Amino acid sequence: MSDPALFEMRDLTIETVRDGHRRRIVEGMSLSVRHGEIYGLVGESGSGKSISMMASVGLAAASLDITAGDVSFAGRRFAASDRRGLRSNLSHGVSLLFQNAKGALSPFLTTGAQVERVLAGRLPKSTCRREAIELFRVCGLNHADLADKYPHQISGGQAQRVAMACALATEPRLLIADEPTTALDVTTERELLRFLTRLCRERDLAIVLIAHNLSLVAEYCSGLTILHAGQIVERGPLASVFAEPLHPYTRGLIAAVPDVDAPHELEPLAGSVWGGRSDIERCRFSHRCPFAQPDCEAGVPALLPRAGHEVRCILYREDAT
Amino acid sequence: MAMASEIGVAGEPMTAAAKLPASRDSSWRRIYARVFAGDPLGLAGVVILAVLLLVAAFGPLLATHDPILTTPDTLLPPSGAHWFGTDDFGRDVFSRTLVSLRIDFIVASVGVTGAILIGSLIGLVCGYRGGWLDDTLMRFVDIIQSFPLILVAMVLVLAIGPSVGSIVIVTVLINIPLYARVIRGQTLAVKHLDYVDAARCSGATELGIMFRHVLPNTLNPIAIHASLNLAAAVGNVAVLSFLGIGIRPPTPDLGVMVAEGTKFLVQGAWWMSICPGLILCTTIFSLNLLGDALESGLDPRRQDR
Amino acid sequence: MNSPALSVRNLLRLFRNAAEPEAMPVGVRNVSLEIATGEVVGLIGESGCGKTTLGRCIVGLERPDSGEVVVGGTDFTALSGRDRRAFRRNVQVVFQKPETSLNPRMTVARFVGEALANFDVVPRGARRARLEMLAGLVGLNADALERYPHQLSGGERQRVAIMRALASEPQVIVLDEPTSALDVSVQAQVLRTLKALQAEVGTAMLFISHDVAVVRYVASRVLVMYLGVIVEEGPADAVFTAPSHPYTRALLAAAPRLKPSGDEAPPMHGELDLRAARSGECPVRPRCPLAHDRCREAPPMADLGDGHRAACWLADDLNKQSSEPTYREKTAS
Repeated sequence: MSDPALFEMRDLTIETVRDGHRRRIVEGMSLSVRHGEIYGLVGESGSGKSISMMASVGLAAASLDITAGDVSFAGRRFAASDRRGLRSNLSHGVSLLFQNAKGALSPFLTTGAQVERVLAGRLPKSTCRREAIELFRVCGLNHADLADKYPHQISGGQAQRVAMACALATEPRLLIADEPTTALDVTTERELLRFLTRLCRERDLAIVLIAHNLSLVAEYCSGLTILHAGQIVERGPLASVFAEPLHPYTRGLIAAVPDVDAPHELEPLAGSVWGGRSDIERCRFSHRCPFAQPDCEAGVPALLPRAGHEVRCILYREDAT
Repeated sequence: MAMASEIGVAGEPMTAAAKLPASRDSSWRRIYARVFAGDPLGLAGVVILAVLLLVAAFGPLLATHDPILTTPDTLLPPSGAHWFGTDDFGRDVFSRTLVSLRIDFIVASVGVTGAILIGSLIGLVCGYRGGWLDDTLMRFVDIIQSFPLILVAMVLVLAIGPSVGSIVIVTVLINIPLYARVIRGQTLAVKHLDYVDAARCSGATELGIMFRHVLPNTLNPIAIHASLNLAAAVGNVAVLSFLGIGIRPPTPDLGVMVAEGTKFLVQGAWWMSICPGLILCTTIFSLNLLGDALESGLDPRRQDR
Repeated sequence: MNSPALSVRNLLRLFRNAAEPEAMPVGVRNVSLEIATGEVVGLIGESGCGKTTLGRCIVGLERPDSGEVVVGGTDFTALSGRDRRAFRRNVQVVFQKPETSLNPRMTVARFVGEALANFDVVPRGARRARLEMLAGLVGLNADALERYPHQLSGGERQRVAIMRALASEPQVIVLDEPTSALDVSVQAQVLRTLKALQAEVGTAMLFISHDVAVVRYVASRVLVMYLGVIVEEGPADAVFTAPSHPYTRALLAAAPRLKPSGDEAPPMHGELDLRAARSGECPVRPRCPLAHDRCREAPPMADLGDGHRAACWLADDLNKQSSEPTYREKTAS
């Protein structure tokens, strides 16, 4: 790795009180993204994937306690609990893209006006219009057609592209895309992801793609981290993880995805992410794991390098092999 | 069936919520926790209101004197014998305050309850059926709303005479629009939800859908509005009585007492209007505190406080 | 072949957009389909293609402009009032969103019990036992019956929705994107339950989804819908291995895959756009990569054998092409 990381999150830990118990909903989360890379962050809802990314730009809800960790972006380092400092990254090269694009756009402004408003943050007013037209073009939208429309008058795919244009208007170097295609049709989804891939190449933009479906990251990401109950269970280069998925959770996620080309029986994971348990000094997957053994309850397993990537499971301990 | 039960095991075991006892009780406790936890003002409002309600309920028993008995001890300042002093007829202000609190509470709550019942029904029917019925009923509601309170009250009092009954009717009438509008808006939002369609597919009749599936899910804002509205209603009853078009003397009423007391303010007999006036303020204030607590507690958007 | 559980004939239901009168109205245009008892038919299409409207017309939540929905020999659309309400027993529905598919003020037992009571499915005394049986059928514990929706997870709520649909012992269930709002792992659980149910109960199902992989998993026959018409239909294996309509091919190629296939059918241009479509011509023409002059005339359904049909002038060629093993190399170059 000659290339220094553009974005680096180290040891992020977030706690909150849920159902009367203090819970560490994200623990020891680390993530490193290089320039121009698409990085996948995968897990079920409740795994802490969105929360940790939101926390990394200072947008975690006030009810969450960020107890440890730091985040560096483009050479600027902030403690993870420094919400204000982290938020300043949003005007210095980090942009966000959400699942519900229509909800992210203001219903009272035309799409053109929204993009121009973001542009006005860094450009003189006179050039905003020209730049907005350019951004619409980059995002595959016809400015003459759409700029005068309000968000409710356009389709979901178009709304997501307008949100894209807004996100690009700050000239970001990192885009955090939180399930950007979940609300879209497959054809539109593919188009958007292709478009993002092209942006990465052309503009040296890095993307953190948050998804709950492994098949989405499979085609577009270079590396991925799989989260379960706030902990990294497996991470590494995409090819290596897919060639040899090690953690029972990763395998479970893969087996749960229906295949268009070769239909197979689905093997759903049992149980839910937290399983109603708040004790955390254990393997947090043990209550759902088909290979669970008494040792799994003894403590949190370490993240160990195996088969070209890293995995957190006692099946891969030194003495187990 | 063997297959299904196997899936039950392999499938999804119950989540965290499964461990809670599923009863009404727990849901009330949840509401309590949501509304009042970390909100001492709301709790204070409830406590004050509870005391006032108890006083109102047991007023006649707690009264130290007969509230309408005139005595020669006129215009005595507050003392051990007469906590709030006496008025120009020698009646005990404290006893009269207790008794009038009761009347005012009854008038306000009967009025507001009536308005909730009628207003909700109008709102539900309008929102659910739509069309000409909606247009007609809502115009009627507009008309009610466009009349000022005092005017409605005066017309009614002229028509049926000043009495507790006419004040109740005025309170009902002027509050109908609020509830009709709130419930209509809620109904419009709820009636297109999937569970309403699901209930229709379950063979529910239109009436069944309205009253079992739509109405119960529109009532959340009512609790908030009702407590704020009750505060306003207590005030309005007092205002109307103060103006002489509400409850008439000698029936004790906070508004009447304040009104009569003002005549003696210049003579220095401040207690005649200030004491009942303070009780009135406390009542309205505690109801407002409760309303605010309910509003921030029951509004799901405000849960991340 | 015995009479189908559901047969839809020439169903028409259009919504005109007042803001854009020159655009094609959205909805369903003269769709006909049949579902046999015990069959699961998948209905695929993008949002706005009319698949949800079709589903709502079938379950009687929407009145079609014309056409018939025949279930067990009776035309549902011809019924009204009490008869219509009683007939709802035969056709049930499961919706997409777990947050709104259950009444938040009712326990599961009351919500599902309504169907048992309204249709008098079992005598009053036997209702509790029936509810427990139904809960077992969809993989819920019996104690879930006393819970309110907020006490259930998304997957559990969808199970309850399925349970409600099953309660009246319907002949047909329309499932409108029942797993789209769920996590993949929960989706897998619910899909497995559905499949097991299918084997056990044998109700005919119309499974509406935009997710082709999910449809491939559950359905034995598939319909592909575009702008209110069915552009391709046939046995799932035939449609998925030899898609014969350019639109179907684009949909399948766009599906996300764990193992990228490198299979690159030409994608559709742009998005579903009602203003570009003209009545009387092939609805897919404005977006179709293979469009040519002949497409100004709406193509008939070409029969490709074994119930596999596609509405495209090139259907035969495409069918042969995609059945050939060399197809992939050809299209890749």
